Amino acid sequence: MRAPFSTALAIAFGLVVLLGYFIPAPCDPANPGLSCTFLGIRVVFLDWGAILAGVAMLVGIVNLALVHWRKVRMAGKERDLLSAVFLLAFLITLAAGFWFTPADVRFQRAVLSIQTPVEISLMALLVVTLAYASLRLLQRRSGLMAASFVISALVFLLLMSGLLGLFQQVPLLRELVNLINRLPLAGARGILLGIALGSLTAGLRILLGADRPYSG
Amino acid sequence: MAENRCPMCGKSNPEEAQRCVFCQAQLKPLAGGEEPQQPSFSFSSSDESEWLKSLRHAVGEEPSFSEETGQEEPDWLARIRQRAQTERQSTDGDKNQLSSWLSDTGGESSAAGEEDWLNQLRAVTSVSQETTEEPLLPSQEERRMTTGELRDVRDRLSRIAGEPVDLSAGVSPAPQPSETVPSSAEAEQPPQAPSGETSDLTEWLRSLEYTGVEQSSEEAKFSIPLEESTELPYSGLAEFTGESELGGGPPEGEQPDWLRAFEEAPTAAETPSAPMSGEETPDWLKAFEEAPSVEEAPSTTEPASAPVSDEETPDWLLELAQTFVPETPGDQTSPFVARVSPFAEEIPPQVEQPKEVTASALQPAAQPEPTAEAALARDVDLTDWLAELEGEAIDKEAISKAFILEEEQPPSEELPAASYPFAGIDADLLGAVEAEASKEGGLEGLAPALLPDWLQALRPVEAVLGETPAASEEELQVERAGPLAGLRGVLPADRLVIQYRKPPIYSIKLRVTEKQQRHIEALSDLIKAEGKPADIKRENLQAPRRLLRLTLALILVLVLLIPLLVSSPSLTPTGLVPGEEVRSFYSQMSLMVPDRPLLVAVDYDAGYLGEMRFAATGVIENLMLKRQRLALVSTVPSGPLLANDLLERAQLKLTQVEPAIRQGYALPDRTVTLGYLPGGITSLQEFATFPRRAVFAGLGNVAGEPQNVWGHVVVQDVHRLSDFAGLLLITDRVDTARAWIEQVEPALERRPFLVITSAQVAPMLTPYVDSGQIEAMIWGISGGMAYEQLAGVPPHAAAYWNAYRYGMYVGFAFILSGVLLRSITVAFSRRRKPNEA
Amino acid sequence: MSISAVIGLVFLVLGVGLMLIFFFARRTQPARPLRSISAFQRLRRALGLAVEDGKRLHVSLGQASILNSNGASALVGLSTLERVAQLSSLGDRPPVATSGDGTLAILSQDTLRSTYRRLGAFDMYDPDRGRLAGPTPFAYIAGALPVISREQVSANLLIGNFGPEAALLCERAEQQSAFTLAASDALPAQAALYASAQEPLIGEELFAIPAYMQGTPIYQVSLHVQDILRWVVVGALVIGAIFQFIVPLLGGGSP
Repeated sequence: MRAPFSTALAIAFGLVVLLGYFIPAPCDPANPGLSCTFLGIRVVFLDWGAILAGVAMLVGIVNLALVHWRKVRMAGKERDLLSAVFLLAFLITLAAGFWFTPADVRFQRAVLSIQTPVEISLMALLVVTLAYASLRLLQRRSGLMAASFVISALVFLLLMSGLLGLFQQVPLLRELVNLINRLPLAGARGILLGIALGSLTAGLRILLGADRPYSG
Repeated sequence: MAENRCPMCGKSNPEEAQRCVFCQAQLKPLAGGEEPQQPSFSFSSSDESEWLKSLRHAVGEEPSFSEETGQEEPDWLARIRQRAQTERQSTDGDKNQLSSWLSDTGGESSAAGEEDWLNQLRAVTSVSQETTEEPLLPSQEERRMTTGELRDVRDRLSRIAGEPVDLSAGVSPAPQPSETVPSSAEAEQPPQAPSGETSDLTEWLRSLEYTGVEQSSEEAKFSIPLEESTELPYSGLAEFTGESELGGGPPEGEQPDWLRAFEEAPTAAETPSAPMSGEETPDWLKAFEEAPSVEEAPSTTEPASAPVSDEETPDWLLELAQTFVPETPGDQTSPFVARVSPFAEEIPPQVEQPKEVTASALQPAAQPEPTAEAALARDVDLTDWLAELEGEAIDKEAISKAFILEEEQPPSEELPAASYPFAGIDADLLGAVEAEASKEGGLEGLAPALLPDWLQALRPVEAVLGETPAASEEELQVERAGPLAGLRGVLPADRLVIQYRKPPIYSIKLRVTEKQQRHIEALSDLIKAEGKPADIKRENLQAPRRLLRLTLALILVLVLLIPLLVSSPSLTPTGLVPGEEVRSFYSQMSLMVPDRPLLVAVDYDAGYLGEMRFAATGVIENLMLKRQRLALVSTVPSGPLLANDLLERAQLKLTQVEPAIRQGYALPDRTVTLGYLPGGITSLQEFATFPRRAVFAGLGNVAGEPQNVWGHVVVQDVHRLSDFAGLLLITDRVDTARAWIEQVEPALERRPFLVITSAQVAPMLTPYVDSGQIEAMIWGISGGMAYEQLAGVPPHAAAYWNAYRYGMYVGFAFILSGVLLRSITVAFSRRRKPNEA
Repeated sequence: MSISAVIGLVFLVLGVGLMLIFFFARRTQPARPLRSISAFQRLRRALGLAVEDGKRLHVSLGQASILNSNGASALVGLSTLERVAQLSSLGDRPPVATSGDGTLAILSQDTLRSTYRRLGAFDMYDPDRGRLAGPTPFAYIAGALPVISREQVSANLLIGNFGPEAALLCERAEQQSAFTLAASDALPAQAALYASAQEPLIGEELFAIPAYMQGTPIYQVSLHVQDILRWVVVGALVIGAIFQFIVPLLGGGSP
């Protein structure tokens, strides 16, 4: 077996957390009992997980900076000058955060002034991309699913635009509109159920030790 | 040495050569009236025996043949022909082929004379030629010679040997009227040749037939059956052979002296031959005397090139005498022996008996030994020009192999004719004749002809054939009956009949197995596919795509920007009717207890700031107007920043309507930012259970010092989530909302759980609304603007609502145009396909 | 224990039991054939072409942490990354994995390292090939876009938790004439990817990727269990709907 210790550790921690979910949560500190024990253990594990997640995020950010640093130092075509911009912005933001602290309104405004436009621009670009994709949708795909996708997109665009809002004054039309609004919910529920079942089996594979994404 | 290129074949020749040694073409153009240069070694025809001349002519007519055909001949053959030609040219030709070569006493013969007797010979052969399909060999009938004819030949030879033959006397014309073979001596009639002798000689020559005994392919060249002959293919030689009595031979008593001399003195060839006593020396002999140097030409294959002097027998003759000693003591019927008999007197007794020359000597040992007479009568080995006269193709290659000369010998060197008195005379022929004579037993008492050493050296039979297996017994059998009686090597008819069977009929239909058929089909498909042009997938051009994308972006920008620029901010949004969900949300907000803080979870990203700001600002404004205390928490790192931004924007907006709101609702006093939950939604479980443990530092103070947020006046009384008035979740993610619902909602203990989300998430959260886990939910710009209408807060989203609506219409148009474009494309393609079909 | 907890426990026990039964029963019975999905066929071809062209593959693992409830999609992405690393070990350029979470970035590096070590090609491992592209969704997209356009990528595998912003990655891949296979557990992303990706996977097809790419029995067994549980849920929903419809007719109150 590959990495037996890591596998055993993963299985143990997973079972504890899982059992803690099924064991009733309320814990009376006056009478701790088993529930409090499991709860306490689960909380400790979750704390460790949160700490590890935070540290992993820090490690990932450092790794990202190193990747861009290596890109800057590469020679020839592989050199990316935009990586230098990234590093510069990163260092400036880092320095400002240490200097001004995240509680400083000025720092917050500076960060938001950069981050918000960038991300909103990407969102706007996404709008154009989706518009272009919707224009070529039937050229790319064909069949019943594509046709139903297009039809539903058209209908809900009209609904969301409020064009049919006037029809909601009429009871029958209101019911019809409500029905149409609820149609995608059934499909979404089915997809979510399938995803949930897939997540369940994936988690069970981890608990059974059959799937080991960790090398150990 | 300067090269002389042949104009015909292009090969180089010696400078002094007149004719090309390869193709016998004239190297130097002749002037008008000029006759081809005759070889120097020419002897007068008057001195040469007619029969000897005829032999020479018969063998020496190769150049004309080769000239006519222009075919490339081997060197050795070319040399022989050349020599023969020179010899022939040196003698006078006689129009009568027999008489011409018999009476030819001089060496000066003209080309015309040669051509005359050759033509005569051809004419004879053409008449006598039967329509057979034997390309190489004449028919057996043609080769057949009667015994009588052979006897005549021998008589002739003996007469020639015994009497001073006046070579100048012409030979009587051949009995065959179709004689067209010119004789080399035709032009020069030997004046002193006795007509009687010539006529006899001509007659026996004519009567000779070349009947090849088909003992074997090789032996057929040499063997001449001594049978009754019908016609002679080579009339000239036929007469000669006939007179030489192949197959028979003159009676012992009538054996010519020269022939007898060969028998008695086998070693006589070693001694110089005595000149002809008291007789007029033939010209050709004189030529030998006169040109001793020529005879000494370095001819390794023709050692018998010694000059003939008046006083001594030429060495070649001696050698020849040695060579042509008959095989059997009594076999003296070899015409070749007879040929040399005139010089027998010149051969001293001590001349060694020439070696037996039979066909067997030429052939492998098992083969029978044809007689000299038979050898004479052979056609193929004589010359190919004789075969040409007969009109039959012969195996030149076979002949050439038999006469392959050594390469050291310069081919263009002109040797005196006297050096090659028997040039062209095939020793195989002699041997065949001899063998035939011995076979038939016609020539009694004649010693088998012996080939001289030089001639033996010429014979490549042993070298080429090597160990040719002996002829089978079957081939050696002589046919006794039928038209092929007397011939050897005749296929037994009985065996043929027995062996004959109907040849199997093979179907022309090819049998192809299934596997082969599959392979055939696969191969044919491959070949066909090679010819088909490959469909090149059309590459999608990037420029039109970018242009289209740019156009779409421009349209969207214009559609969204124009209403913002044109519309008034206070414009009431048209078509916006608050739905049930909005009213429910509003009612829930109204039931909010103001003395308890409201937990607001700001979990959306900066990218969704635009939509979430429009959706949540009205709610926050309403809460501010109600003086609700707010505690903000987030599970995203940028959440606290976005939360503060949301509060500031809401307060700024309210200030426009109610300027006293800043004093009435001071953000630092009425709101607290709990900060970011480390671990994201993972910490929600802990936050739901132990909120004070999950988050406690917040963003800290301005000095960067950690600060216990739970000491803030807003949340100082909060120990559990149920101590909050409720939970307002502002998120754009389904997972976050689900996590808050699943992890935190149970801990609220029936406190209202309200959600403000984006339009893309709302459908996924509606079931939670239906199940009661979410009290109320509004989403998107429409929900926010509807709430603003209900709450009576300043509607700042009206202008954006119009832009939003027009943007939706544009999106609708884009999708619809895509559908129409696709429909048109499909319709046109379907129309095109039937048209193409 | 609440009713939801009970139902969850039932599904848990049922899932574990079925997986064990089918896993051990597979030793004696032949494997069930999986239905043909064109996306995987094209993926297989794209993998081969990438190796032949001397280009690399880009595996995007999404932005979900394994500590979250949507971390299962990240596990699927990691198993896919392992398989891709095995298949592309013959090529000149190793694959690159981008993620939007720190833990995912560390796990991607660990997966690459263990794969190359197992293949005996540890010299091919480069820590930079498993990187964090960005902490936020749009930052993650912004960090993944240059990977597609500048690092000789011929095939992109977007497997994990994405938002609709993943359509930007698909558009960039199309501009580079690269193959894109996208699978997300988020519905908005599925809608956007359906319109923009070459081969989108809808719904739980995301969790079928390991079964199609790897021949390990456990993945096929879990897929089989997933199908059975789906039918169980369908049955429960139908029964519940019938029950909800019948009870009022029978005069009973609503449950």
